[in-house]
Amino acid sequence: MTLARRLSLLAGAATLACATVGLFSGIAAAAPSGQDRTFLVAAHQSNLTEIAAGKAALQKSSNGVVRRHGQLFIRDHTRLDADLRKVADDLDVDLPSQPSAAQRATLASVSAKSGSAFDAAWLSSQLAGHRQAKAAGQRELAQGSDARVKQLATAAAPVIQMHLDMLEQATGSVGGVAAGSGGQAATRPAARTALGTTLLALGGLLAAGAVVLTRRRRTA
Amino acid sequence: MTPAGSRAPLAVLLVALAVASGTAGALLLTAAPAAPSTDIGRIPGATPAPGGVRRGGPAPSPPVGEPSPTGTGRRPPVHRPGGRRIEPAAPRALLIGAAGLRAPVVPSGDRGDGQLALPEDPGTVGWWVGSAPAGDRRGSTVLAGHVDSARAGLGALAVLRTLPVGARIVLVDTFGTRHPYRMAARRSYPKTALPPDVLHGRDGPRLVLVTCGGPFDPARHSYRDNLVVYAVPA
Repeated sequence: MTLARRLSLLAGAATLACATVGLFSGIAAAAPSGQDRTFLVAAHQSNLTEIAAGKAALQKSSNGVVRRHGQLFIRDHTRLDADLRKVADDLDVDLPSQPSAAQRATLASVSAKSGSAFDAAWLSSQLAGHRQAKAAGQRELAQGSDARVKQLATAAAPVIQMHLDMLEQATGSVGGVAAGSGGQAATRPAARTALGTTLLALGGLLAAGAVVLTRRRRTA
Repeated sequence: MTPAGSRAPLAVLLVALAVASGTAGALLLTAAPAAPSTDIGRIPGATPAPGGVRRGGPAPSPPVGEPSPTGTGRRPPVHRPGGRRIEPAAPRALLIGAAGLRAPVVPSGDRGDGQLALPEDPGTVGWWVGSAPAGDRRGSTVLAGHVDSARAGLGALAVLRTLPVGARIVLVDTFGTRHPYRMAARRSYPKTALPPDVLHGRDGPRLVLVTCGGPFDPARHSYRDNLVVYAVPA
């Protein structure tokens, strides 16, 4: 390879590298809007709250359903927050290290209770918290501008909706399943019984008809 | 020929038909019902009773916090080929390729009388919120749905009646992750004697799908049995 050719290859590579750097710095340079920043902070604090509340449920509740919720919320919000922190990092958005004062106060008042009072307070505070998180996500999708931040809201929406649906179902304990009211799926024995009875009845009717016919013939 | 004479063959025909119909009816009523074809496979997590083989019923669940008596316990974390650990999460869809089924899954709780509050639409399946999430490394993930309804006809879980052992079942969770399972066993239990382990089993990991089965009582709009399909992570 000649020196000239090597130089030209090197120049080509350098141009490519510059273009790539330019592309990425272009993305990083686009500053997130005030709404994007507000959402990142609010969603992060909501994640921190649900994680802390989940830990409180595991420490204080003996209700299997509440404990299941706590476990799942810790896991899900830890995952959502890991993705969120990456985006906030890239966009140079500072995140607070703890939930808001109001969120901390609610958590403290729930944790001060015990037994079924704790469970009820925990479930209702979680419903309120998740409703706020859902509203914050919808606001970001409607008014936000950064594509990556909006993507966080899109990805979190089905998870938060699932948590809300779960919380609305979280009462009592279950021991049975009543799972069919139509009869279309019935197994044969029932149908067989019906058919057998019908055929027997039909046989009886036919026999009676034969007797009547025979008697009439005799009298004729 | 007299009118009376013309009736003779008719009478003979009627007698023949009566005998045939009566015999068929009596046979249908008296013959022993066909052996139930519903129970197949071996229930995952079931512990054989000492000195004998358990029939149907899974092992009673141990109290919270005790190690699993079967020694299956918690499975090591599962990783995708890319290296990211697969986390358990709430199921959002149920796929059974062999039956061409794709059904939405929603959380279900207690409807107030100790029975699972199933989605009214038999095309939607309920996930018992007190059970394990999809892909959990221990415990039972319990899904249930109506086998049919008077208004909507057959439900999504009607396919459980004929699903073969080994069939692939997939749960898609809220993050879009797919958790594959393999059908291991099917059992039919009278609703009044559903083993507690079906809904509250702590062995596993396993997926438990519950619907209705057995004879239908039209007066009570209700089936006698629960049909239960057990699956293990594939």
